[in-house]
Order: sequence, then C-alpha cells, then structure tokens
Amino acid sequence: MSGRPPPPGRGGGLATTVLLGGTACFLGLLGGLPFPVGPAVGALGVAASAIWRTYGRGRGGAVPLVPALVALVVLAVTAPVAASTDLFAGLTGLAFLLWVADDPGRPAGGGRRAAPTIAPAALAVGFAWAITLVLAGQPQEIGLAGGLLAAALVLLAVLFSSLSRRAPAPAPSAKPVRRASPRRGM
Amino acid sequence: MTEPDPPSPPSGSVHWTWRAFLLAAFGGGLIALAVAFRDAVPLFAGIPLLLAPLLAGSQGSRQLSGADLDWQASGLGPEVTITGVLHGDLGSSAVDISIDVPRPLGATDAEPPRFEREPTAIRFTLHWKLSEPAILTLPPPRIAWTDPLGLTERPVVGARSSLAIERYPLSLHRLGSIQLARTTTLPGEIRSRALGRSGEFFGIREAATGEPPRMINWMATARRGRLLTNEYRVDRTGDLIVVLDVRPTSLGPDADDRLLAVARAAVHGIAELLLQEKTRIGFASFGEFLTTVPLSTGRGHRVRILRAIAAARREDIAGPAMRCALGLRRFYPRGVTTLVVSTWTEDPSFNLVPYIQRQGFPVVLLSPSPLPIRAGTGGLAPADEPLAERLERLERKVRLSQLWVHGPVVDWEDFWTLDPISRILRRPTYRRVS
Repeated sequence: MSGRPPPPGRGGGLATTVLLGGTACFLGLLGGLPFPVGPAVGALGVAASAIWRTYGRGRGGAVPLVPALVALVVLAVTAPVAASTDLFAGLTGLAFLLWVADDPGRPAGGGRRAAPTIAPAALAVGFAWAITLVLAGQPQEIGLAGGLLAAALVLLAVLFSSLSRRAPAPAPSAKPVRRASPRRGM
Repeated sequence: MTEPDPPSPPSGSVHWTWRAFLLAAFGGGLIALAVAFRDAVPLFAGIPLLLAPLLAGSQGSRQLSGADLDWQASGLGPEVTITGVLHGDLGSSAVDISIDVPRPLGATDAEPPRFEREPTAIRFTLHWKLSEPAILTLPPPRIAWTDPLGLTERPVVGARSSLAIERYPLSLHRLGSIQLARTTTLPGEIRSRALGRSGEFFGIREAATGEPPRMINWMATARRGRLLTNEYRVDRTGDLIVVLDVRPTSLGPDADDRLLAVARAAVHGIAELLLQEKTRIGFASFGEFLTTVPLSTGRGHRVRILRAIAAARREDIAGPAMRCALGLRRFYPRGVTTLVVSTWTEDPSFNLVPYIQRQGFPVVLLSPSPLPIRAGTGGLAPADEPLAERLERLERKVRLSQLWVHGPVVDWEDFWTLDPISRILRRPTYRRVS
C-alpha cells in the first residue's frame, strides 16, 4: 500500500496532457516527417503514456513516461533547424515536465508546486532560444547554445553542492533517554 | 510480539529515482544527437530533461528534520483498521511525504486510504480486509519526502515501531468449555478419587450446546434470562500438545507461508484461550527437527509458548515423520491429546498422524486446506473453475479419509471458524488411543 496526503486544488492531469499533446503535435507539424505522420507520432506517444500512467501497471513509476519521451526524440531529431522548431522543441520539453509533475498516480505532484524545478529550466530554454534568434543563420548557433547549457549545468552543480552543505543536522532516530540526575547529598 | 526495528536510513541523503535517471538519459541522448548532427532542435528538447533532475535534487526539503510515527490496529475478524499519526515539524512539506505501509499477503483494501494533513501532523487511516486469520507484524513504514516531479526522494527519519496484528478464527471462544483429558498430575497434587463432574465450585459460565440439565444453574439462569452452568475447578484443567508442521510442501513457498500464517493464528488462539482456562499446553514445531515447549500452564508459560508460535517459520528441509513422533515420545508423556496442525500433501510418508498415534498419543488432525488460497489461480476459464474446485475437494476428502483410522481429521476450509475442531475435542471418544 502506498498513500500520500492529497494536495488541495489538483486536477486529474487532463489539462497538462492536452498541453503536451498540443505542443508535440505542433512540433510534428513543423518537423521533417510527412504531414499526417509527424502529428500522429506526437499524439500517439503522448496518448500512450497518458493511458499507461492512468490505467496501466506501474503507475507513478518511470516506465509510463517512455512512449512520450521516444516520440519527443523522434520529432526533435527529424525536425529541420529553424527558430520556430527550436522554440517548440523546448516548449515540448517543458510541457513534458509539467505533465510529469501532474501525475494522477502521485498525489504529491502538481504543476504549480513543481514551479521551482520547471522555472529555471524554462529560463535556460528561453535564454538559449533568444541567443539563437539573435544569431539566426550564423554557423556558431549550436556552439553558443551548447556553451549556454554547459554554463547553466556548472552553475546548478555549484548551487546544489552549496545548498547541500547548508542542510541542517538530522533529528535523532529515537527519542533520547532521559537519565535520572544524581541525587544531591543530604 | 514487537520485533526489533531495523536501523533508520541516514537522514539528509537525497536519492534520485528511476524517473530522474530516465529523464537524464533521454536528455543526454538528445544533446549527444544535437552535437553529432550539428542540429540545435534536439538540444532545445534535451535542455529541460537534463536540467530537471539537477534542479529537483537542489530542491530537497531541507527544513524537514524528522517525524515520529504513532500507529495502532483495530477492527474485528477480517476487518483491519490501521490509524496512525506522523508527528513532526512538517511545514509545507507535508504534502510531499509518502507513507508506504506494506500490505500483507492475502489482504485487500476495503476502502481507499484516507489522509488528513495538518501543519505538524499527518493522520492516516487504512482499511484492509484479511482473507484468512493471521498473526502479522508490520514493519515500520517507509516514510520519504519526494519532490513534486518524483525525481528525487529523501528518507524522513524518526521514532517508529512495528505493529502487531492478531486475527483469530471468530468462533474460538467456544473452545473454552471443552474438557481435555488429564494425563499427569501437577507437582504436589493429589487427585480426587471422585468420579465425574465434582469438586470445588469455580464459577458460572454461559452454557454450551449439549450441556446436561443437571449442570445448569437454574437460579442464575432465571436471574440473567439465559442459560448459565456451574463450573468446577476440576473441569478447568487438562493437557494438550499442539504440533505445528512447518515442513515445506509441494504447494510452493507462497502457499506454504500463507497456510502457515493461518495455522499459526489458529494455534496462537487455541493456546491462549486454553491457557486462560488453566489447561496445560505443550507446543512443538516440526521442520527438519522437533522444537518443543514442555507441558505447563501459567502466565510465564503463556509468554514462552506464544513466542515459540510466533517464531515458527517454514523450513526448507523436511525431516522424516518418524523423527517427530520419537521426539514427542521423548519430551511428552504418552496419552496426552495431541492436536497436529499440518497441511495435507500427496506423499503418505509425509503425514505425521500415523507415526504420532503409534507412539501412544491420541491425535486430532487439523489440516488447513489450500483450496481457498489456490482458487482462481489455475488459469482456467471462469466456467471451469467450480468443476475443478469440486474435483480437487473430492480428491482431498478421499485422501484425508484414509487418516480417520488413526484419529479424527478436520479438513479446515473456512478459516474464520474453528467449530469443527471444537466439536471433535468436545467428544472424548474421539480422543481415545486405539
């Protein structure tokens, strides 16, 4: 048995599923696959993952995420290089994170509560896209984006290690035994 | 019945879950593809996937120091209600704390679990339905904080204890009125030469079915409005050896464990009830070798015997039935009524009953049937299930009937009642050595 306290104000994950399906279909539409195939790959991948995580075995686990991730990889690899495809690839990745957070098998989740994790990722995608937009058509586009990603990862690693060092000491695993104080002499 | 708790995991250590590894693998793969094909699109798709596990790890709930758990079990019969409170300074992290209580084998959720969240406590209620009687010890639940994406988790430490759940067959109380044969006198005791029911008055109790009219206390009956009988001190003593068979059978470890859990619950209940009635109880478990607790009564003996029953586990090697019989002969006096709790198997040499009976012990066999546990697991069509079950039941009855020459046999299918065994123990002719 596994149980978690239900958070207030949580939906059933339908809104984020529609959002992920929409962005994946649009990426498929912009991508290199023929017209019905691209959106179909996106829609099928998202639908399979959504159905699996809602009704299938292993709810709340990692395996139901695989079809949507495979669809994302297929769509991203086949998409031609353009500012719009870059943007929608990033947006699809962010929508995927939102969808993961809004898992009905994990009542502890929630898109709003996952904002501290998703917002920096969205910021990184936004910066990378802004830089590539400014330098559109220039050959160093991939190098700049990669450099930005590396800088972001290094910053995060430094931030993570400093925060971990400042974590408070853990509470003892059992209540301390109170010893009887020695009786004062008469 | 409380077992020592396992050591708590170290606090503060954040673990990545399989989700985090999956996202990092796909994100890394996309970035590798972007570099390989000099294509920026996979890079943009991979950035969020690669960053999310790192960011989730940095979000670990640092304000959560520890939480203590108080929990208890209640309910009657197959119904088990577990209520618990997790105390601690949970703050805003309460919603992210998961409490994983392992549900025992054979139990189902009667109702969905309920959780109530407060700033300093999480209250939870679980409703289970047990399929058969059992004595269980639930280990302390795993309590962990997880981030909203489910990418990292951190164990929450605190004071926790295991929880004992004891569910006996419901009709167990009817065993209380059974007279068991006395075989040996207590130390320093001089037996009365009076025959029949006589001796010092002990008390008044509810009348059981078939009580002779002369035992009824009519004055007390008239006052209370229901049949009450006199009870004499001489009625309150008797001897019983309970032999629990813990050898492996051809049913497999899972079925063996479930049947042994049922058998333990029955033996536990019988022993506890008869010890309350001043009956002298001996307990033996037989796997590869015989482990015995001598015949005795009293509070100290109760603790000793209940510990021995709780410690009885399925053994991997089966000893020969003759070894059990000879061991019983060595440790117990002849003529003591012996209740053998053993699952039926196909091998005739596996049966303890003939060997024990030949050593001079009047034997009653209580055989927990595997049919209720195996029902529906054969992969048959629903229409064929009743027929298969009926054939299996007939085959079992035929095989068990061959043991009746050695002593009465109870084919125990309805695990929530022990009426068949109490009916047999109530009839002294069945307990006579042939």
